[in-house]
Amino acid sequence: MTLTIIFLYLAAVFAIGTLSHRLLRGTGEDFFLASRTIGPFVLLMSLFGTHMTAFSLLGASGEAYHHGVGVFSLMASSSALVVPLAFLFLAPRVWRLGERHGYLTQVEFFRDRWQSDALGLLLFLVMVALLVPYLLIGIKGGGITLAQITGGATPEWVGSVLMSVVVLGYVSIGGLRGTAWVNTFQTLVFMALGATTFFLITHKLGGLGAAMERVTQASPDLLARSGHIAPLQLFTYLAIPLSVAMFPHIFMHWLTAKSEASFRLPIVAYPICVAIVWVPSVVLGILGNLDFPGLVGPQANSVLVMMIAKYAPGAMAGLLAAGVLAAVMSSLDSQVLSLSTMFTRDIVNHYGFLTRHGDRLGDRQSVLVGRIFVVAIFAITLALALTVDRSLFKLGVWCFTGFAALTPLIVAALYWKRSTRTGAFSTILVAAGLWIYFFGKGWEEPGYTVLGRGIMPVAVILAASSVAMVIGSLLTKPPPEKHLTRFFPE
Amino acid sequence: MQPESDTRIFKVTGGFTLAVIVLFALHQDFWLRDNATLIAGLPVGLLYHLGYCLLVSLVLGLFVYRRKSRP
Repeated sequence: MTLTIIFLYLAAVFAIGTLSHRLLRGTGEDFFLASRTIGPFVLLMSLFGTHMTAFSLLGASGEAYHHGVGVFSLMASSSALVVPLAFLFLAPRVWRLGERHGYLTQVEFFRDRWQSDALGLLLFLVMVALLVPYLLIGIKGGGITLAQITGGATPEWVGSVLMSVVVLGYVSIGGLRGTAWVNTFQTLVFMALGATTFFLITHKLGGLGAAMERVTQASPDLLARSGHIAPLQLFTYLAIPLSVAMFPHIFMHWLTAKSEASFRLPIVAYPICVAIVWVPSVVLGILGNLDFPGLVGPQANSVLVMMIAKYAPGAMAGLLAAGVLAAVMSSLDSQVLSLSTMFTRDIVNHYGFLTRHGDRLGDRQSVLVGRIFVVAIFAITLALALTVDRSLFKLGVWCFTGFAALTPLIVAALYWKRSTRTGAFSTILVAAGLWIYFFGKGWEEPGYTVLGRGIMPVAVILAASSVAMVIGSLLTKPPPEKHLTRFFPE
Repeated sequence: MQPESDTRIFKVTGGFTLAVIVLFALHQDFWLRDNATLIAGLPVGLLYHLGYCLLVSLVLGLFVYRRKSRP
């Protein structure tokens, strides 16, 4: 019964995504950017659904299982502040420039802004390298969900492959319009089912108050932040949500907006959506200690699904598991589409590969090439998902650290006329170098913080990459005034 | 040449800058660090940050919708 419900859900998602195909206008801009016609509500749902992934459901509950209530302040309320501010200061400007110059991808924008092909190529490689672990979080999360909810009857890889096929299917057919529609549906589903899961499980545990009283007896340390999260860690973690500024899939969704005013609702409603999704995840993660004590490390990523299977078996478990899959797929689809778009626009078309005279590919050919590229990326990610056993939360944090470290690029591109391509190169190289260094440290020592004082590596890398942008730019010749008027008109 | 104004419909004011600084400060709730009291079944630290999310939404709402009539 559980599996039937999940299959029905996946079929519904596929149908919504592909039905939007009927509305396609047959142009590349429509396939990749929905012809820039997305209104406030669908924009909010797309942005939020894209941003929230297995990280915020499975990873958050797993982390709350180990570290308690402080996980909400660490990741959720920091996102509730930083993400809307990033939307406010960056999205309208990006949207205006995208509309004016016809950009479809982030790489295209930066390449044009600093007039450097090499910069575009480097950025493309960095984006792919950072997106693969992000895809891994989703693919692994989907596999874990199906495996747990069926009591191990469905191997993890089957769930991962099944979900990947569904996502590939509707993204390939429906483009970004299909993705936006599916995201809206799935975001509503995972928000509603997340709340349902919360009320159902707490009710079966005798009510929220009674369940929490039991936690007070068994593990009181989980109900306060001290002992788990250092003050400097809480402060420096504020840099992590800045990653949203550099996600290529979020950038693409910004460009789909109907108008600048469409960003008002996402900016205002985003913190509320964060609370709706994260409070149940964190609370259920803490309560998981009552029924499933002793989970070690990444095992806790499954605690939410284990609770669903215990307290809501059968059809309800299928529905609730569908809610988890909804969160996962609503991110995977946009990530896949952004990868596909970057590959076709910024590599194949830009360099004239696959054509005899270096011409651009037609829309149909571009989409085909993009699909082949995405299938290859999915295959690599699936292979990694079967071999890597890191905590979803920690994997996500490293991925976000990389994107956040590149934030000086977009800020300088939009606000600092004096910034140069050397500054941009310096930012990327310094961020990449330090990221590799700190990742190595974190790999050897889980829970690593700089100097052991709770300072997150992202804060150090971000500071260094910002300084690199300033120094690199000031040491080189300013961009020509005529070129700047394209980005900073009177 | 002057850069384009700080976005057409989202023009930053001194009041808004101050509000954002206060919001960043309020996020660092060191005064609740050791407090595990339950209120309405929720730990006070979680309840505080739930209210914090609503406050952020309110502040941003006042800012972006106040400018609606002055594009």
